Amino acid sequence: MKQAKLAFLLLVILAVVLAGCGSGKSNNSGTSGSGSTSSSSGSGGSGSSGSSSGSETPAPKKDPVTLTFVIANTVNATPFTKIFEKYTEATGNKVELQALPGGEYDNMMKTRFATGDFPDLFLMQPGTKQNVKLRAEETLYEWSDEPGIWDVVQPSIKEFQTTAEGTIYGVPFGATGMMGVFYNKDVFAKVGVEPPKNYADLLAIAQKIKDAGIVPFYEAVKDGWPPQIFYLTGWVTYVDPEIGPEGVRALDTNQLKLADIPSLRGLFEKAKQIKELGYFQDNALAGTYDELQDWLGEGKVAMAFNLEGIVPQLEAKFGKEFVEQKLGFFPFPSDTDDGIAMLTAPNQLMVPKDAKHAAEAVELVKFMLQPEMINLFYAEQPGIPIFKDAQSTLYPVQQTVLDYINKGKAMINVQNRLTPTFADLQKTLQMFFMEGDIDAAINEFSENYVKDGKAKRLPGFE
Amino acid sequence: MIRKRLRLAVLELIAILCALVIVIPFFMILVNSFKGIREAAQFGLSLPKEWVFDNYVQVFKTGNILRGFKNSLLISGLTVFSVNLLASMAAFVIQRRDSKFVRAVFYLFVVGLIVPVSIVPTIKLMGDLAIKGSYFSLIMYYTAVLLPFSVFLLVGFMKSIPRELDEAALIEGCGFLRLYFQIILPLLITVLVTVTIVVVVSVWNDFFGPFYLMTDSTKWTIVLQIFNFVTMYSTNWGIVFAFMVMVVSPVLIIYFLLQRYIIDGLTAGSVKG
Amino acid sequence: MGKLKYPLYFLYPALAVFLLFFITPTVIGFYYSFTDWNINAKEIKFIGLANYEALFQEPRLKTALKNTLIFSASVTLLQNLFGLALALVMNEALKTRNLLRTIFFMPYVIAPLIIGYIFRAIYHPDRGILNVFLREIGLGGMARDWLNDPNIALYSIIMTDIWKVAGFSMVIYLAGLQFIPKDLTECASIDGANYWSRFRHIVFPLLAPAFTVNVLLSMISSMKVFEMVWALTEGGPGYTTEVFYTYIRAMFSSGEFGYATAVNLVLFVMVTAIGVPVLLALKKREVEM
Repeated sequence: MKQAKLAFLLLVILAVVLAGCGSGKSNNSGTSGSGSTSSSSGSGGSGSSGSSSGSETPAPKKDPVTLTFVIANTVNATPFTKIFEKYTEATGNKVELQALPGGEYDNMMKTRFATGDFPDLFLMQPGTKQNVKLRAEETLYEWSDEPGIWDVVQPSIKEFQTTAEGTIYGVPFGATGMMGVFYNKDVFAKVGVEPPKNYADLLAIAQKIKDAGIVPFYEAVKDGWPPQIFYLTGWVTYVDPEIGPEGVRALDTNQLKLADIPSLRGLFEKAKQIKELGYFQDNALAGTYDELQDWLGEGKVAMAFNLEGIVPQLEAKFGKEFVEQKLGFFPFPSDTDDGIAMLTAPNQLMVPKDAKHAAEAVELVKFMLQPEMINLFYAEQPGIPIFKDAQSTLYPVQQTVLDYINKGKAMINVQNRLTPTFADLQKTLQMFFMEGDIDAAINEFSENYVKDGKAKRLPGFE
Repeated sequence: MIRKRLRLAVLELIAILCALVIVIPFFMILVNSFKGIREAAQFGLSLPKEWVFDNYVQVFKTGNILRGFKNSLLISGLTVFSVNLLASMAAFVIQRRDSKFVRAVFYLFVVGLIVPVSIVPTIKLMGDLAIKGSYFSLIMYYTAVLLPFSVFLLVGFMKSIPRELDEAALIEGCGFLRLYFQIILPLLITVLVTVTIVVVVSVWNDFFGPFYLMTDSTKWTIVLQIFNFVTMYSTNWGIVFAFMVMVVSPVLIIYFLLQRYIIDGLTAGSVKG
Repeated sequence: MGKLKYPLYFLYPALAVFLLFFITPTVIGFYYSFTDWNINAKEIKFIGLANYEALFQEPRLKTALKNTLIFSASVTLLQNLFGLALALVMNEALKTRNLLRTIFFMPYVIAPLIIGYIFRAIYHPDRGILNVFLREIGLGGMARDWLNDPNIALYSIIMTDIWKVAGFSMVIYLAGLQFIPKDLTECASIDGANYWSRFRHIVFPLLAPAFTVNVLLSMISSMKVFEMVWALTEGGPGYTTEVFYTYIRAMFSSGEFGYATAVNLVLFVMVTAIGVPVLLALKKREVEM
């Protein structure tokens, strides 16, 4: 009895003490150095403060401030933290990096905006389609006339960021990525095959691999998002040629329904066929992105439809040599040729107009666009550059994609070209994988897309 | 006699086997937390081929564990304080004073036991009150949600404290507040311990609340940190397991030290309530 | 002695907090469920029963309803079964009784989210220790894809939930057993009654209060399950293990707040419609015992 009383008393004292400490700290948002880093490198954190070494940026006129930078936790933050270290050296301002869960990112940003809880700077998914989510005209800083930005950005990338009215609300920062088929070159060599020249070829290759006792494709159905890649990469090869840019515009204004596109239905049929031919691993329903990497690296599977992000993961697990010498890439082949490469646009930096340190944030963006910083970024995370004169040593898979770009056989992800989202496509594809009902799947896909447009109050959908 | 001994022995064996079912999963994450990225993905029960301590180092550096613990501790502690205080005061009056109004309030609290939380309007409310994202908002949320259970439990227990005590104290010139703090409260200790335990377990382990109400990642509780961590490091099970071990250990240690009080408290509280 | 006038102001703090932070959102939710409140909307319009109409036609909701009911019924039944069985065993004079009791209750103090992640690894079809164990003891035919086979995924989640909460029920039943006077049971066994007879006629009826508490608590909390399902399957594969709270969460994520509050209200009605009669029935039984 006595002991319990003591315990309770202690608890109360503890609570009061903590209350005293807690309320003191709860309003202080600016502690430096927190946040996430990728697993392959060490800790992040902005470094020294207070010293302003000589550089091209102007010396600080006021006391150093701490900016908040928000990023999705699925984005590799290390290159950013390195750049911010330099920024702190140059200006004395610190940057606190906050990583939010990737799946919830959009919603959390929207909620913050709705309650006036603005970060100073944040990284958003690419393209003008993001503008409607945040009501950009009202809330975001506009960059089209801003000096010191657009001279270094490649024109096609700049165009991608520009709205129909000529306004730009985000500065692209990153690299051009890709989605497509990644393959293990050793497995191909062992089986005696080469990248396909057309779709029929791809199936033949898969059959040969299967006969050799290796799994042709790995699909990570459990994780939900990977199966989408098949359709997104197939889109640029099959659907874009069929419907053209007018078709995409029609989709964007609900004048064309997804369910009515024959080539899209064709993709579902192809997916079903691959499954029925037994080219996926057993237990595909349990498949995860994690295991996909393991199998691809170990040569247990030959190919996987995946995205650029897999490259640093494979490097962490299997070493730089593997990625440089044994990893290959090819696009989704068409019926007649080797297909069109699907590109993903770089993320964009955005600054809310009413952010506490909006002015400093704009300066930070300009700092990040300096050649030195850009090259630092690419040194840390190689990729196809979006800036003129940037130096970036590419992995062979990225070089392959660059070749396709130069041949004019590359196209940006349709998701970035449409304002509504392919809502719940993950779930639809999981159900499709289990049940194989093409009509149900394509209709659900189509309806969810329209629902999303309606929920976003987009013209044509209401 | 032998039959009885045999029966007991068999029962004990079955019970031990069941207990193993509880213990083995914990053993699994412990052992895998010391494995490298490829070996850990095998989820095996074997001892590591190579002992990797780097996982723990990584977690410590990037997992914001200390901050998560601090937040969880702060929020749980303050909620415990506020629930115990508010619930016991309310229960005191509810049990003693028998008026229509008081009875209505009691039923209102009972309703709260059943009704599920409406999280979306709660978020809006916090925003409208301009306290969204603060520790205070989360503590008030938890207090409101846990008051029904606590009041219910305390009212039941209050019956066993004789009214004569109140009358005696008041005759001596005691005010109600003094009566409450100096006489009633100490007598409620056992039940308050039960309430404290239920509150701590509910608040510490809650994911739903902070996820929706705390947008500031510096205020995240330890459970939210795990969620964030798993989403980020989904492909390195060794690190994920190391994180889990680090998060679960303090809870388990405190549990084993206090389990006597925890289980006795729950026992006493549940039957009298 | 006049009746003491206990001060109402003792009640006010608790009432204030409860009214403001619990009742108000619930009532506001009720109002919002009749609007088209949406994260993208600049204004909120009253739309009457439109949300409810859409809701009742939505197949995803029907799945959530079905799954929530199955989950709740199964967990309530199994949790009490195992809890009671464990309590009866623990009540005997076993040597390692205290240690065992501590171990059985242990999972209750761990966050359901963490338990979910741990069991994801355990249920893995190839490497998870469950299937590995089954294969080792020759029962390989029983090995399944526990979390990804749409037919059994829900039951795997139920199993994990039982793992977590059985100990809690056990403790409450144990408490109830302490209050059964030993002489009653001893008398009966002297009179020749065997274990099951004693159980049915003496022990179980006298356990009525503990039974009420346990059944009610497990029923209500299992209808509100979220983290366990979320960590294990996220409602998948596809929509097959969706429950009410995962559905509400999905609607919240898509920004459809008005609709989400309508679903929340349906859950409220369901919990009340099932909870209150059960409570009344059990209380009546308690009185009769």
